[in-house]
Amino acid sequence: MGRAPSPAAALLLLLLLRAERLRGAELTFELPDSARQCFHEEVEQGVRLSLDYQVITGGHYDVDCYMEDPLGNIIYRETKKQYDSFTYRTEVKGVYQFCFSNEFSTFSHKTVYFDFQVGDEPPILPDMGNKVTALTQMESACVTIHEALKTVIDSQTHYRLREAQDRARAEDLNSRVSYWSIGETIALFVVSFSQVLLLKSFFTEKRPAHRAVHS
Amino acid sequence: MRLGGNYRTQMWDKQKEAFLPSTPGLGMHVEVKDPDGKVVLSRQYGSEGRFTFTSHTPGEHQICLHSNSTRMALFAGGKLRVHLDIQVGEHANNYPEIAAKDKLTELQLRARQLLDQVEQIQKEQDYQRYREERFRLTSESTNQRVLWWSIAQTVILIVTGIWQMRHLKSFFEAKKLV
Repeated sequence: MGRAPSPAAALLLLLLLRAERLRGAELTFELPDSARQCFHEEVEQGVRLSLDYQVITGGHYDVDCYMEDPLGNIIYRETKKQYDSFTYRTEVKGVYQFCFSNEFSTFSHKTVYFDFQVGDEPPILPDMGNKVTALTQMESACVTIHEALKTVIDSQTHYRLREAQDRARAEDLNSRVSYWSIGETIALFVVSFSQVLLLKSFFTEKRPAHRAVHS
Repeated sequence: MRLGGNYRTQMWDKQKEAFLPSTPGLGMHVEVKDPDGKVVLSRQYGSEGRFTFTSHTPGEHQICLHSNSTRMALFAGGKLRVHLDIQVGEHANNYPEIAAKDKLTELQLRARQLLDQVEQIQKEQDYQRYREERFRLTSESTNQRVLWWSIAQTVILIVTGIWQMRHLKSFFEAKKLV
């Protein structure tokens, strides 16, 4: 998990994720209110890319997201989504851009997680991919186990994010309960005290009029 | 859990309208904070750099990169392209290096990768267990607070009501209205 720095007034930071020797990147970053953060990736043609994102903390836990190809066409656009998953097979080679926007929110800054995968996973040794013979049983068993463990790690990531989200809400609820109870105690004392004072003031004022009636 | 990151920066050249292949003289400061806010790593690197650290506390770590160059401030509308690559856990391992160091065959290397993955899963499970405990403590604390507050509120209400009546009664008695 990491946080990207917020752009300074004079600079525009374009974050580009390297996909040369690995399949993609997972990042958790902070998106300030009324801000947009874009990420760019250089992708070949005919490659499958996928984007998963989830809002972890902030406001109504929703964010806008869109993805553009190198020619400027929007290939994916969603507004106010909490989490989504999107895959696409590239048609053009070039720099693809995807952006998360929190421009609709005026005061809640959000923490967003995304997992961007490009292509297939490269083999762990460079010459493994150049096999001419079929895999042995041991090797294909290893491949199967590796894929299964990847699924486990992916679902663990989703659980971890869910837990972070729920914990943020629970801690927020806890602090809100504290503040509200303190506030209400104060309000109670203030109201009961001022009720008595007000009532006393009514009868203190009327007294001269009351005496005037009698005499 | 091990985390490795590497980055490369490119500055926008306004005359050529393109990004320069490399930016000499531009440094980036990398700062990593652990979940308690303590700084784990704080180092200055050149325009290209590689950093790693091992986390000792479970939780949310913060990784910040900011440029230290004063030249950038002079370019209005300047752009900086940062290539960032962060790998956590098993992905941070360099398998060709491990194979060379421990002299592993291909099959042994695959088995090593599986072992690393399983280790990562175990660590994640430990983390979830720790988190569940914290979450349960928070929820129970909220529950307690709501319970005690409701009781206290009722008591305060009754006591205030009694005080009000007695005070007003003595006030009216003093005023000879009752």
